[in-house]
Amino acid sequence: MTNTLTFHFTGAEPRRPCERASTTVTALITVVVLAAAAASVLRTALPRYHVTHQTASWQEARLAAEAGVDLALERLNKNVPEPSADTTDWVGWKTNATTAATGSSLARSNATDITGQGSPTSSSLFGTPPIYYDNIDVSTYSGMLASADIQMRAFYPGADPYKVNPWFQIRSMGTTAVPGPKRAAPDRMDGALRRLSLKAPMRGTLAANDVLTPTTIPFPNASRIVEVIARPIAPFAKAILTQGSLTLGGSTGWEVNSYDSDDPNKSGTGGTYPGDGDSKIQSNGDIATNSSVIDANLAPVLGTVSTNGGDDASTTAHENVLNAGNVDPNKIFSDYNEPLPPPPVPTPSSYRLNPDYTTEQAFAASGSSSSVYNYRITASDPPIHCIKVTGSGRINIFIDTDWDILSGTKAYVEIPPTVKATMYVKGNIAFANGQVNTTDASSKVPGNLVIYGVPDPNVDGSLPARTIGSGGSPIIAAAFYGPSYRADFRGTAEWAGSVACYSYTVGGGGSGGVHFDEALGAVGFIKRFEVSSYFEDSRQ
Amino acid sequence: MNGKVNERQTNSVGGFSLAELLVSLGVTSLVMSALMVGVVSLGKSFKATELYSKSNSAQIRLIDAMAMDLRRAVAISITTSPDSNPSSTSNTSTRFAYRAANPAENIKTIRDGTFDPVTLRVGGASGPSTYLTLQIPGYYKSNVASTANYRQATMLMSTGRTVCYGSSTGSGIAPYVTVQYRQGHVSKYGSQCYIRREAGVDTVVAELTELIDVDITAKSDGSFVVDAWFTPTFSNAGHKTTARVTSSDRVMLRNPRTD
Repeated sequence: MTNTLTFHFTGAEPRRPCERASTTVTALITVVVLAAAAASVLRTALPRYHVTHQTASWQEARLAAEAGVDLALERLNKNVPEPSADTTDWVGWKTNATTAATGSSLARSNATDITGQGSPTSSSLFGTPPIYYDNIDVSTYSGMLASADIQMRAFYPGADPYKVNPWFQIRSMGTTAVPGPKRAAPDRMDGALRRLSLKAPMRGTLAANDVLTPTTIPFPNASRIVEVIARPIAPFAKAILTQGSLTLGGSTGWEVNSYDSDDPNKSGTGGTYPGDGDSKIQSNGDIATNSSVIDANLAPVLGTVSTNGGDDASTTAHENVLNAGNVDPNKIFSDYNEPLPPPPVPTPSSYRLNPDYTTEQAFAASGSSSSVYNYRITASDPPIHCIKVTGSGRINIFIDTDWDILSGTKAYVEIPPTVKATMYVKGNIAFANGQVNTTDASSKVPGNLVIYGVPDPNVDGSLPARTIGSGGSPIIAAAFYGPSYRADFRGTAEWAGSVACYSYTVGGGGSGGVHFDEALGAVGFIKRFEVSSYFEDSRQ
Repeated sequence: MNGKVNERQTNSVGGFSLAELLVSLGVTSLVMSALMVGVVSLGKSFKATELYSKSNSAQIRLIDAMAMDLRRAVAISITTSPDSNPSSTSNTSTRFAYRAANPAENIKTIRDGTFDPVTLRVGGASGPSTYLTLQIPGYYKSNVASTANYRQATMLMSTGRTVCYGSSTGSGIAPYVTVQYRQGHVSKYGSQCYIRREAGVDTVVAELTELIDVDITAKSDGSFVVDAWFTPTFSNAGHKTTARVTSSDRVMLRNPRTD
């Protein structure tokens, strides 16, 4: 603003009142009014502007917390099949401020029975003390400071050491800096939702998540806690699982269903398959393939049917399952992706002397659930057909060659109820008309006979295609896992347990089927860990 | 210039002529009118900006709260309430998931059936209300805010084969907790509000929501999109559909669905 004041003085003439200047006053008033208006606008706008920062930081805090969960899961999956083994990598993790964590920190032997410690349990629960991974820098590329504090505990939901069941509770707190002043949001509802730590930790109990070194993220900051329960994925989680093609039996009476050998209300006498049509039959006989199509062949499937793609989401039909007339369309999925890694094979330093199995002499088990007897049949040994086990405890039998059970009275595998047997087979497997863990003296419980088809590379390193199948009417109670095995059964084959292989085909007539034992979910090696439960703890 | 002339001029300063007065009054009126218009306009703009800012905050808060609950949900359904009462026995809930056969059913608006969005009047309509109903894991020992264990997690328990959260009552697995989002008039705030109900306890998440709409969309990959939009009250905002301010968040569920 420019003002020009002109005064004309002539002699001693008095100054005229009407020409007195008020411009300065006017300008000051204008400035004050404008400043007041601007202050009012800023007073309203700035807190809102800060809320934008607070919101962004709050979002980042969740990402930081989930990054902590990812770090824990990554370490768990890196350390499969046995995270509690001495050889596992727990670098950076601590049991307290000074002691580094090892696999044994999470071992069953380090777990105590916490049943009854205020826990409403219906079964034994063994838990280890937590291990910590603190103040992990997960700052963003944009420079926003962020850290994660992680706690992890192993829980064993049963007393049976034979079952691979360490579950893990992962608790991660993500903390991020909040740009701007230590000022609460203008709306109380924002404060109630985001609960920022402006001058001191808003959530006192967060200290429990930060047991080692306190977080270095300055105030104001935003913290969020995510708690995850991670469960082990065993190799026998499906009735049938294949890497490639999967074709079910098409004859009348052939079906896939489930039962639970651990539950008398869901199984027959002694945990056996209750029989087709029995009221104890369950509907968790899931089948899945990593390929894009399954030929259901009009077989009833009491469970989910999953492929890896192949279904056009824009149509109501399920293109990924052919001949699905007896499959619940609501249980057809196309998002399955679960590769079949090679099974871990133990390498004992020595083997016990084989009995004369050609004359049906029995293999003796270890006599204890905490030890195992190892036997090995090599290509230079006499061919093995029937297998009989006595005693109690555990037994491993390594078969380096083909295993044909043949037919007739000697076509059997006998595993007493007191024995847990594991077989590692490198050659082809034929069950002919055999009774595999289903003789009168056997338990008929699939979890008591686990058979691994072991990859046996050729000289050039390639994997030969192995087969497992039957040309007759075998009755099998076992869990089989062989990523390189092609399964080819007749429709008369009756299998209680689980089959995981490269491909699976049923040909010919017969009222057999696959009856998944839900108790197998805790048997075998750990393939990986996945999130069983996710919860954001918004109150602490 | 000389003294006489100045004296004459000095004498004439004693008052305005009528014409001068009218002119000055006219000019003053014009200036004052312009000022008034400016002030009123500024005030309106200020108020509209403030409402915009508040609505934007409420919109984001609402999305954040719903996204947090969706992320940890194990079951998702849409509840239709014919009598616009969250506790009514007439309410029906339907599992909410993507349906290729009926795309129109993949998007749902959380609305208060008694609210007329045209006249912005509560009681101006009488349609059914639509709520979003979720089940989340039963994680806390208590859902009563006044109790000491309101913020405490329940102990883990074993089912023999699995590990899960145990019931705070001391037996069995912790039951899922129902969380419901609805819109309704809250007299305390004197406005339409979005209300979050957890285990039967209502909490207002956003007030002054007469102009805010919330949609939930089920996507084919199993995720959900939460859209919230409002119409600014600026005089040049134009038609609602073209002037609305939208925020959205796409949420991948973290838990396997149990419904």
